[in-house]
Amino acid sequence: MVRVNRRQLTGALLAGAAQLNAQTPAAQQAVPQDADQMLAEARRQVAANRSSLHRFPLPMSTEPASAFKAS
Amino acid sequence: MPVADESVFWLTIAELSAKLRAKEFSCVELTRAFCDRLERYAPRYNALATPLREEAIRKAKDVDGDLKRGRHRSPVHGIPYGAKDLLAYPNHPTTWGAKPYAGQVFDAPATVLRKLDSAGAVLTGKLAMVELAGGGGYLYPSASLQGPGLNPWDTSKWSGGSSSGSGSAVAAGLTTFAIGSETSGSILTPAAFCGLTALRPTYGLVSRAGAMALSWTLDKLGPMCRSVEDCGLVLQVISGKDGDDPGSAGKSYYYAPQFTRKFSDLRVGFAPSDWDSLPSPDARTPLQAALDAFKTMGLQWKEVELPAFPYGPVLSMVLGGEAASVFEELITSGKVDELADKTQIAGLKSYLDISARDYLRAMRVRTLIQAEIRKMFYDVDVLITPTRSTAASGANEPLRSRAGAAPAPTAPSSGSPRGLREHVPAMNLAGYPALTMPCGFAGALPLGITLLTRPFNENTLIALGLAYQSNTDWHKRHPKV
Repeated sequence: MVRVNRRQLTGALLAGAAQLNAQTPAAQQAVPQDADQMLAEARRQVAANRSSLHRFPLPMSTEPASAFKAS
Repeated sequence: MPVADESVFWLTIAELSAKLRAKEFSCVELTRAFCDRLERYAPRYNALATPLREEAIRKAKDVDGDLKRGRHRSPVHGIPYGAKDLLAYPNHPTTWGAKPYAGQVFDAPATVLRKLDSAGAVLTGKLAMVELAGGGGYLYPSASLQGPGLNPWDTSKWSGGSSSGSGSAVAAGLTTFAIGSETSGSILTPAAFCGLTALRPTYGLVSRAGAMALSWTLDKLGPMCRSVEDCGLVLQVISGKDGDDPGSAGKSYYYAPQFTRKFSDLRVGFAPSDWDSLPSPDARTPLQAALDAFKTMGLQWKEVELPAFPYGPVLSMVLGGEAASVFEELITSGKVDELADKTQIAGLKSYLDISARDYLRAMRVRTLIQAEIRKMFYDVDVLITPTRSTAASGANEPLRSRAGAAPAPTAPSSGSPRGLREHVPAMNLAGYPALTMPCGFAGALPLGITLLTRPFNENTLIALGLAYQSNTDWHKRHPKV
């Protein structure tokens, strides 16, 4: 059984909320027009997602949410 | 006898079925009328990918033969419908809404289309969609081979995505129901924006064999209809075990809302902050009225909120990691540059940066999400929340959807209550079913309310939805076409 305390969850949530806020309508954001700029922005987003997930406490015993079945 | 009355185009499956059996018109006459209407009006909403008139008339003749012999195959026998253009259909293009796949033709139909064919339903056309179901994160509604999906309630507004043509076609009475797909919001969003009733089934209940893969662990297919009853009837036909879909849960659904628990025993979770934080007063009043209508049904009520998790980043990483693998050849060959939406192109390319370690970390956090959401349902049986916090946005306005197939929901800002506002990524990650129903209007545009429940518990959603729709008429309203 995995155990994560409330403080750890809250910290991770705030990181996630900041991330999701970055996905609100673009009318409120500067939208890059150039393809290279767009790719750089997309890569920044992937990196931001990565750091959000790495800030999230993850017990070593947690297995991924996909199951291999012998058949 | 020809189909003379335009009201036929707004009938539910059960109503149309009764008229077919009473021989008020033949299935060929009905099919011709729907094909005429689809071909005439769908271009107005950029809703049609491929008309299938010849095949539909041929099928309708078979149905008429069955009806003559008194054979009734299923509740959808003889009912015209449309399918999102990510479902394979032989001898015709299946474009996935994207230019690089415009000439793609499959040999065999998707399992859902085969099941509907066996049940006697009549496929009249493939319906437009956002290219690649918006998997790269599109910025504009125009991210589609057919152009932006336009909303029949106001053609200056978007129909929602990525099942945009399915939303418009059912709303405009161009087909009686449609099959859509959802990875994260692509059934619920167009259904809410277009005023439809739609069901996103439990992950694994409906086979995806023959459907475009975007994310193997998130993709679902489901019915987009005029009523809760129609959703149940279609789901019964398309659900079930399929060895051709490794994600198949091996379960079937039987439409039996009468056997669900008494309403007085059902515990419904809601978050007042979902309603308090709605950005527009136009939306707040009807959505509050919808909640109040459920509160008169004798249910038990409990305030809840989603467990604290970074749903957006987890969903983005899972979807991105899987989509990078699905579309690796498209991306590395450079053909991805033929897509219509530049942001989507950049998004797909950026997914190649996702490592196995990133993906597995997201899938491990997903395990925790599933466990916490399962625990949440120890205390409640159903959740209720607005489907979207606003009505449809402008068809030319930019969106910001980096997390998948539909614009991201409004995330709670730090310090504000979480509520259930992130139900789209959260419940898609957990694989839980959802039912959205029209519940009023913000100005001229429909709004939707969503019920969520445990996996494979669709009949509870259907029973509550039926009770709501027996007391309201929002689902019976339709736009002027």
